[in-house]
Amino acid sequence: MTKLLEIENLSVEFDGFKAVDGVNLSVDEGKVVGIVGESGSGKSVTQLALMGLIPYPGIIKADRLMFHNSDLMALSAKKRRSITGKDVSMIFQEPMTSLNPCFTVEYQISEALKIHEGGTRQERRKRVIELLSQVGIPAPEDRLGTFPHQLSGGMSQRVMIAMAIACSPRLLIADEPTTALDVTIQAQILELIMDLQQKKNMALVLITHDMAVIAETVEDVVVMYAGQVVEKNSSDRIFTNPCHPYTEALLNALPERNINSKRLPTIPGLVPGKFDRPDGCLFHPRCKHAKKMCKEVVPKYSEKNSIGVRCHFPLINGVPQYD
Amino acid sequence: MNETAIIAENNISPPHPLKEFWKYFSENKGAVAGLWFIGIAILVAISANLIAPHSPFTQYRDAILQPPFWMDGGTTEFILGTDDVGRDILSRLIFGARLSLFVGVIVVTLSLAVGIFLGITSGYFGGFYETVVMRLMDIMLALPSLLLAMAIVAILGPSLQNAILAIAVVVLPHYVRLTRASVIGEKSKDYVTSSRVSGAGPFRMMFVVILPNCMAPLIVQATLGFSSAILDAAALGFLGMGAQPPTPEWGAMLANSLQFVQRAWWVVTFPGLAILLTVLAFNLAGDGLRDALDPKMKR
Amino acid sequence: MIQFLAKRLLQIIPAFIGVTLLTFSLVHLIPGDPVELRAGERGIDPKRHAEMKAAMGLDKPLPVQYFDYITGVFKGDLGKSFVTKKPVLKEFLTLFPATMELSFCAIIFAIIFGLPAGVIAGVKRGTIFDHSVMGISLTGYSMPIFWWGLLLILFFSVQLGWTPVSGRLSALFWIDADTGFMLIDTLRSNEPGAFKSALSHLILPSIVLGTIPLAVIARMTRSSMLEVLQEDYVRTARAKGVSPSRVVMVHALRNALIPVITVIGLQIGVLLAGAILTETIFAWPGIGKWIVEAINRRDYPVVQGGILMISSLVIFVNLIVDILYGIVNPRIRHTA
Repeated sequence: MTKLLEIENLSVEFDGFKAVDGVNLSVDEGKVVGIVGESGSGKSVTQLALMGLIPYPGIIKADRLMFHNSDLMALSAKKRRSITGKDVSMIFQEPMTSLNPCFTVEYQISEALKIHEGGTRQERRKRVIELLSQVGIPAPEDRLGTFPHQLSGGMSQRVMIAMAIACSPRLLIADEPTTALDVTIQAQILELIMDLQQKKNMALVLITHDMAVIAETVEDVVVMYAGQVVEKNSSDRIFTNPCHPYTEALLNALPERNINSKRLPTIPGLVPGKFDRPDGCLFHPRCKHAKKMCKEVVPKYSEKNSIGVRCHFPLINGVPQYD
Repeated sequence: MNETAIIAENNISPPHPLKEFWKYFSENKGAVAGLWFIGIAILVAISANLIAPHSPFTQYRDAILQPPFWMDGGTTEFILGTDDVGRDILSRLIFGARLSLFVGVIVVTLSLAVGIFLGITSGYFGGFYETVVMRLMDIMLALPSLLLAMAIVAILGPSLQNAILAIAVVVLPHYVRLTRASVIGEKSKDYVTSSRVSGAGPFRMMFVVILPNCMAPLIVQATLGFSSAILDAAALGFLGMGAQPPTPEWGAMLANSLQFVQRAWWVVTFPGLAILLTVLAFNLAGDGLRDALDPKMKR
Repeated sequence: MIQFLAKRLLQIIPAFIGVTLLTFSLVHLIPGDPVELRAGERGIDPKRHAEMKAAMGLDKPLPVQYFDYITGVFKGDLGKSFVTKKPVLKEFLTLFPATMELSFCAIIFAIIFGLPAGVIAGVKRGTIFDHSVMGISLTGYSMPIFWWGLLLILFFSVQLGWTPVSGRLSALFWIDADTGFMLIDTLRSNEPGAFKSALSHLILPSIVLGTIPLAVIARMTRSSMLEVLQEDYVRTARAKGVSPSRVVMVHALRNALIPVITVIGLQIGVLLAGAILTETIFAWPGIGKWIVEAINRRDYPVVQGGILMISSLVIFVNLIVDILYGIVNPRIRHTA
């Protein structure tokens, strides 16, 4: 299987604050990778860096940022734009604000087509109608002239998806595509994304903070904490045998694992921010297995048998391996 | 070891709000420069009697339209030259600073006090009262401010006192609207509900609970209000509807300089420069304040 | 859209009533008796006094007087000037094109320089260009324009002799005021050099009057641009691979213009206030100078009528701005 995306040691800095810190990530052609983590763990920023969308004053550094045999760090801005939106595209968390309020649905979808594929106005219109019906919008012909504020959240997200798949990308990044939607709509949208991924054989990076979504949809899981990858594992293994204490804690907080207990367990404390970044392992203040070493020495990320973990004492069957 | 203890140990607390405010404010060099200039202007205004080389009213009949000291015919006795009746321009400018700052203080105090009262009561009570107040403010805003001020001066008669009153009335709508908008924003918040539940009366609710949380935009507006008050007073003075001669008001000093434009540039240049710099200083400081107080503008 | 228009039209009625109330009460608030004011310092005998009072309708109750005033206003009767004895409305209409021509050129000047400066400063935030635009525009915003006008006259007219000091047209020409707009009239007159003369008379006043709007537009455009550039939909556009120039010019600018248009509309009031000062400095025969002179001469019908006309104008322009706003911003059009 060919590697579509390879990221090595990616860092993104805002004003001295590392939002993303030494992240490694690779995605194979046609595969689905999930990224989980709390808010502020750098999940989205990693993907924005890949898209070249880091806002001012962010600084991106990486040892390797390869997409489909081209080195994204070395490409000219123009070349890079010919990839973004065509071969890699992205769906965002807030569909209601992600569409431009001044332009119609048709204009915004066909713009992507116009930039990357050209074609006449009629051809593009036909394609837009096709795309709208692919994402399950009824009576697509009548929706062309609609403005974003006339759409519901679910509808907006469908339009966003149509826009993202317009140029048949090899990689689709979905950044918490269902978080801002009603619970009833969430499943539909997720199903739509997975369905399109299958049909079009796209690779998919699904960013979420919902472990249940991961369990249903994803093959490989990357767990992020405070801008770092703390664990990379297959979704089969991660639920039964997490290696990092943070993953374990996340799983223990799932409601379905606590059916008989009165209270859901939580992870004490917060993700460290700009002013409270601890020394040593970033997770140690919240880790129930932490030792003295964890407070002092920064753990390295190591990968063995396609399982990656950033911990001094990785868990095996829930037991930390202090040697 | 207890987990919370570890967290506390590693907690480098974010800086104190005032310190953080000063950090943001002092990052803005223009704002700091503006603050310095305001400080100096205040000192000059207070000590005008001590530092002015001459009386602003004494007419030196043998030194009419004398140029500044660095030009031919200028003397160090009149550093910035003299005007058409032989008064020392520097001294008039120094006393003018006193007048302009005085105008600013009175206008801002008056309009702020009345504006806050009208804004907070209309925002808090709502209903018919609010509609009447806000409609009235809308009408006042529909009129160009200088025109409205002129109309008021036309009624009351031209004098510095009436000009101050007119300007205070004209800028009122800005404060009323601003206060009302923030009061309405704050009113629905939980802390307001909780003090109502705990039995705070309307007066306490308005002025003790809500008002402090609306102050940030008002402070900014008040700072900027100084600049517009000084500018409007100078404009009225220039039109002969504000301070009357021989008052050393900057705008009034310019009023009859038009006829000397060709002969004596210094009569024209310095009073205007004084207005510009003072107004600019207040605007710079106001901008800096807004950026430092408004969390949205922070990165 | 029609509903939106109707709603906005209804909203200006209270504003208009308020303005007429204000101008109506203006005459009644002035200390002293209108009849005596009119008679001037010569004095007047009591019988004649009562007659005149009746003739002016001042013996009726106030609400009736107000009603008479409003009816007069709608018939176009704004009274007669104490000084020239001509109808106020006629004087206003004669002088108004001069002010409009000046204001129009000033706002065009302000937009042409302010809008691009603001856009570039917003896109290139933090650069030297951004800092200079912000510095210059804050200076412009703080400018006492009556002094700025004097400085420009001092430099360009007195020192360099490039532009005339005052007025609308060189005394060498006599142009019939067909439209009242000197640029148009001189173009139509076929007099050689007349148009050039009119244009050169317009340059300095337009710059002076346009300075504050220029500063306001540049600052507003920049901050609006900054805000819009961090919106999610701008990120979406960039995620589609749209080029940076297109992101700015199409996706961001269109949205950023919405508040800028409002601000440009609000400048009309600023312009008319500024016109009072600018016209006084440049001896520009417009309504600003007219009102200043009327106040100084205590020509109250002119003051009253002038304020009424200018305020109605501002209210009207604000209405137009609101409608334009609705056209640019589809959200308003559909929800209102």
